[in-house]
Amino acid sequence: MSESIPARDFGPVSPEKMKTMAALLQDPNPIHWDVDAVRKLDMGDRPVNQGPINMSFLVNTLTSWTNDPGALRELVIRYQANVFAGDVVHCEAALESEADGLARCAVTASVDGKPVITGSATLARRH
Amino acid sequence: VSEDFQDRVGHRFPGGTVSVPHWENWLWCDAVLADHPAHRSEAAARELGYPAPLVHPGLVYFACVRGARITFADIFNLMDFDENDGPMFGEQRMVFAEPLLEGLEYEAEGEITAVLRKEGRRAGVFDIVTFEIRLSREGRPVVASTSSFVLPRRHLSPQGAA
Repeated sequence: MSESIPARDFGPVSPEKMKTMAALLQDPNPIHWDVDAVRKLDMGDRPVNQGPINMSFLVNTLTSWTNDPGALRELVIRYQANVFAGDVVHCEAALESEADGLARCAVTASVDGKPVITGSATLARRH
Repeated sequence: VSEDFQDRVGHRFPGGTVSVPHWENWLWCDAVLADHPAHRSEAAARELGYPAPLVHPGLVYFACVRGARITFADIFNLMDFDENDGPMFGEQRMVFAEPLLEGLEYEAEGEITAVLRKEGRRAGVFDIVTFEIRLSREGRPVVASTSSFVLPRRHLSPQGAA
């Protein structure tokens, strides 16, 4: 397979975006917006990025490649680890097959080489 | 009521309709650094052949949950689970027949499809509850979402387990 899907980096992850996301999701968990709450849980001193933000970074990477946000046909993910404010999330997708206008790939989001999301995706491609 | 919660399988959520307004999609895209113009502009969406801006796929999962008229707290209650015991997202799968578009109304329905009890040496006893939500428009399937929560059952775990 000669073609590759360009990787993308997102970040440093902003605590301000986490506040927007907490309000959108009506998520009362303070680890996303209150550093004191994070410290009390011995999770360090940086807010924890919401999983859906990390997942969306992966989606952005895939749909940048297709140049069509409507191209996603299937996404399967597992959350593996937390991302904290200030981290840079590296998103990559490895093309595994392409047939009948559908591209299948393995996807990974990672921070400093450690996976935070793993999974797979299928995209429709226009030719 | 069964101890292994198998009687929860098949529990149907109320269901209903859902639409994603422009402001919500805009703020989501801003928060997740989604820069494709077809998420925000009708003209850019039309260039790709869509009649309205596309809802970001990350937000679609939450549109499914909202449309099915469930909250995560409802699922924890149904599973007799205390949120303070540390629920975790399990696998999430979304299948799109077509993208979700801003401002359109979709029908949502869903149910619990599986409850699986497991025991790990480090994790102790936990249940995996899986639920499926489907969105459709005018009878056409649009999105199917299957996702799960991992619910640690600390009171059933050997002392010292996570």
